[in-house]
Amino acid sequence: MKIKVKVNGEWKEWEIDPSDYLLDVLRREGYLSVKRACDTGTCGACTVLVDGFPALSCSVLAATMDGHEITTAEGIADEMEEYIKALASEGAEQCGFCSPGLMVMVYALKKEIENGKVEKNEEAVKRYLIGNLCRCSGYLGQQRAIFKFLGVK
Amino acid sequence: MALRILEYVRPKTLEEAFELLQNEGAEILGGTTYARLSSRTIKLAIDLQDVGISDIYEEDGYIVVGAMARLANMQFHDLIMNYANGYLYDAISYVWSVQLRNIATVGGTVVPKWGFSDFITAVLALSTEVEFYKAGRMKLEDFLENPTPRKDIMTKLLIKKEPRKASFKFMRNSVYDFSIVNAALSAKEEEGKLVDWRVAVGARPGVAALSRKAMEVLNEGYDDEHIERAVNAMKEELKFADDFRWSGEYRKEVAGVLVKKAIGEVIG
Amino acid sequence: MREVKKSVPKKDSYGLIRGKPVYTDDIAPRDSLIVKVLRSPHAFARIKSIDTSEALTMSGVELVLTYKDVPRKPITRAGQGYPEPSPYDKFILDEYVRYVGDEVAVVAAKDERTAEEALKKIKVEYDVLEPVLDFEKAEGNPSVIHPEDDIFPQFDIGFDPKRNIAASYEMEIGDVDEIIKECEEDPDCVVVKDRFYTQAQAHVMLEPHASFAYIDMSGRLVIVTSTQTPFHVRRQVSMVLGIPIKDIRVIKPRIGGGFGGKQALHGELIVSLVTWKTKKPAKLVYTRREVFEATYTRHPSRFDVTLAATKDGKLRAIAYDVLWDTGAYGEHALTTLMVAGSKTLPMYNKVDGVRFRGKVVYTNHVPAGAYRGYGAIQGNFALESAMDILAEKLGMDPVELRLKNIIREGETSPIFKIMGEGREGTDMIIKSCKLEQAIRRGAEIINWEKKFRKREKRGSKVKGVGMAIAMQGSGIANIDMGSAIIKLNDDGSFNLLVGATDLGTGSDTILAQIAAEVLGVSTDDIIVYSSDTDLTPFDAGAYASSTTYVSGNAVRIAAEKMKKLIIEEGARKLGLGPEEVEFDGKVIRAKDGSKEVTLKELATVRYYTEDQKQLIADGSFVGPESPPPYAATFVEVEVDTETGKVDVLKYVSILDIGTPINPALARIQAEGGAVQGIGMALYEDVKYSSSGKLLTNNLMYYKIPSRLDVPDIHVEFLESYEPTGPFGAKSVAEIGIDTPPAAIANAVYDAIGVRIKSLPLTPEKVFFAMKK
Repeated sequence: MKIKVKVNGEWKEWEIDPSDYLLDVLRREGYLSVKRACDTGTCGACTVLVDGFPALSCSVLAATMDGHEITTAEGIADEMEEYIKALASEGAEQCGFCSPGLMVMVYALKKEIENGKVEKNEEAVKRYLIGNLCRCSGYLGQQRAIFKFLGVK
Repeated sequence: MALRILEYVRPKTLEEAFELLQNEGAEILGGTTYARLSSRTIKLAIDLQDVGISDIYEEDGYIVVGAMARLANMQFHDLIMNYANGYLYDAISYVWSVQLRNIATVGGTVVPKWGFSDFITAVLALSTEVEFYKAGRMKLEDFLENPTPRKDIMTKLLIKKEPRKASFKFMRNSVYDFSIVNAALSAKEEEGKLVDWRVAVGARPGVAALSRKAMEVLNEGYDDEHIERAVNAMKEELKFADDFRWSGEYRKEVAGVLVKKAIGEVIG
Repeated sequence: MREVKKSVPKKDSYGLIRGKPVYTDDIAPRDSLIVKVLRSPHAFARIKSIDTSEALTMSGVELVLTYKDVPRKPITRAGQGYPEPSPYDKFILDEYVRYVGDEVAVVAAKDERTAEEALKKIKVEYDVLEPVLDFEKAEGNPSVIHPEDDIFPQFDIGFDPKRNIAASYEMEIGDVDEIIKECEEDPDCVVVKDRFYTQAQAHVMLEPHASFAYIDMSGRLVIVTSTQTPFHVRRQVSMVLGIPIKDIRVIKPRIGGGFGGKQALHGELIVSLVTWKTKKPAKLVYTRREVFEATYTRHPSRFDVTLAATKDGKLRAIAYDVLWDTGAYGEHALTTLMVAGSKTLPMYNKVDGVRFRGKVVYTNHVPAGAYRGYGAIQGNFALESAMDILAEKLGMDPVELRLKNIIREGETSPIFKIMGEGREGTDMIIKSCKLEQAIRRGAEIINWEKKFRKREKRGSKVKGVGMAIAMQGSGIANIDMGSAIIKLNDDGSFNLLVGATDLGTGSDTILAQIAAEVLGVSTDDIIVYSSDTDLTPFDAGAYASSTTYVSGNAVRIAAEKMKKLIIEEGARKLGLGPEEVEFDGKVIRAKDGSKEVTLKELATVRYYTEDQKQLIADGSFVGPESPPPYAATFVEVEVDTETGKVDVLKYVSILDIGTPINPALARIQAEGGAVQGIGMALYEDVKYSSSGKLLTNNLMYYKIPSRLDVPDIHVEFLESYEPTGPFGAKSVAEIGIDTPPAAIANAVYDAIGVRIKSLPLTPEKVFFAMKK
């Protein structure tokens, strides 16, 4: 079957199988920032924005995305320069495998804070990001960078 | 191992969806969230995103939540945030992750009667009904206690808007986990008294159930002695079992602790 | 110091965070055959018959392999130096399957769906055998997991497969039984005997194991793989497949974490075989379930610890009896076992007697292998819990008991010489050790004196404090070698080529900092290329906390040689002798200031116009010793007495790692290690079904700590300088993981007076222990 999706601002038409998950289709089409890590909707490495909201691409059927808008890390990296710097200066990306998914979440979180949906404090930020696992850093370095980027005191 | 879907359709109306569902091997796509773990084949997958059951609104004294509403939509909806002191907002905010709550639907959570669900426990503790396209409207507890209507479509979850005080409690080891056991309680405020208590306990590991005995005791009174009796009644009445991660005995003991704490919170 | 002791961002950080395609699966050829493995549903079985004909006829299926199609050559997949201290007890594919997840057959097909369909079409009849699922009943069990006669060790490791023993080791200094007996009879002495268990922790690196292979234009086999040990992969593939080493190239791209789990070989042998047979590119990416069920875990263990001490707290004897579960295969069996002794016992070096006895048994569980802190963390939980029990029995503060008995600078331990990794160790006088200062500082920060045994209550919750100390090593002395090449470019920048393997830790950057410091240039002027067996010199690999110390010393040596070359060539250009000039990183200048030439000018003329040559230097290093880093960890916990739930409130770890070359990266190592250790202590429970299937086989059921589980962690590095390390550095990779289990268990005891002796400390376990 065919689907039309707007990926990082550009409409695409893709031939897919109805059983395909969004993650696999995105990777097949070259959006390789989207990582496959846990296969069970837990680790957050496959996070993308669907219509502006973060979603697990490993758990969304690609067929259901027909007509929707998808944003991957590739699509927001330029806007996230300041965040990238903050994370790199902590050395907290470490192996980097969880980093693109986390960046997508931080991007969404910033918007949610601006919209008043999420409070701007440490606890609220951690709760928002709970679905992004990291095995290297122990999270603290990530959080130092994220708090700095978001201006969480 | 993966879910296999042979054909995918996205009908525009409920009628159409219902008719398609009558085909052999046809299924409604729920949240699709846990589908990845299954190795089933679905001949015809019916996606309900266009049939118009995603809205959340107030009607006839009920908060109506469309079955295709996402848990996150529900969590942040004014009707939910303002109801019972944000009780459901809180309960939903601990369901797995933001990324999951943005894709998991209310129907996809309720219809499979997931045992691990915190959401079902939380809504069961309120006066909640579900509506199916053909089978019509029924109390949530009746839905949970009876066979699921076959080849039917859940359309709505309806939460009665009444002055309730509620409390949701869960026990987890890692915060980012399913609950080992959970408990939700509520009572209606009527002339300065708490009446019509509802006591729900889930992840036992079976799906949430009401402890009618505990409810009876609390409806008689909620002083220390009644609370103790209610907790014991709940522990006796409900079944707790082992799964490979936690024992039934542990679940039962902790359920008692959670119920007691929740009563305390409801009394205030 | 300008470039070291400086928090330089990782050279790859921008690319990684932006999500550039840099990992194995991202860069595999699009036309790769997709390789899938049929895995055993039984814990122990013999394949009676296997029929692949139907799978082979499927359109899009390129190849199906069973044990009948592969060379029968025993190997170890451990990824260690040669000769390996692990038994050669594994075949690429075998007629026996020894755990649920063991390889039965391999399919290569045009796409994933076809490969998966083909797996279903392979018909296997099994003769199901009685599995050994309890490691305490493995030795001498009538079920022999490795009945085959063609398996063997490279040297004596106590290998006795007919009794299900993969390795064993014993050593004794002094007459330990005699000392214990004396102490038992002496009213002025105390003896503690206790038993501890640790579980099969999973690495859970975020990137699953992945590898692909292709044939290059000259017919050589190229393997790109997410590995910690590219040179060992090359050697092993050569050995098993009979392809000469010269015809194999192994490349490690960026890898998404390892923690020891990628020290061993996983898909490499299989993709190599497929590509070698088909001459087509082939890719194998593990699913998360396969990572859990069919790679490695930490070795589960049982420790019987005996401590004997005088009433005034002087330790007289330590004895370990250890049982070690290596699962179906013996990778790292002996080394991990020995480290349980060699990286714990020397901490208390003033004893009169010390004994270590250990056996490593085979079971029909997921095989165990290398995992960050191997051996040490298991030993640390047992020893540091036992020390806490001893302190209580003595009526002594546990901090004081440690201070009375710990190793100090200028001292040694006979263990260093006796116990190495898989063989004898090497003598060593401790040249840097701030363990005492670390203990005192940690106690101060956690406010030990005010909190210990105070059991402050808050509703149903009680607070407690606990501590543990640890030591590690820095590389494997006299065995593992690292090397480096530095060459000068015509703009005055340098290429640094290292065999060392950056798994995300930032070692490429750290090695560049070391080179830059020696050369007096900026780290930005060092371009690093690493881990490619064709282009970079040998390195044993990233394991055993070796890269900064071993590979870092190799880089230091190469850079020193390069500096000497630059001075020589610069002097010659200026018409002076080398002793008459100096080099500041930019300019080679006559000491009298009369003339100078910039590095760039020198480099350019040496390329193009005058006495043309490539300035190039190399360095190799093998540690004559393995200087230990140290840690003292103090935690404050809160235990909910109604549910048994343990929350860590504060975690303080004071470390002596020598000079932190890159303090930000060192801090992340320490924090990340602590959180993995906390995971092992509290959350990471492992469950098998009664028939031996791993049930905690995904991240929904196997819980690594989430960010909300992580306490306030305070990491501090003490001023310390290790004279044998590059710019005073020791290692940091593993030391952080060792202490959490014991420190947390000790804190739980402090809070509620209940001693948990098996990991993890789940709420259920704590709850029922309190009820007893």
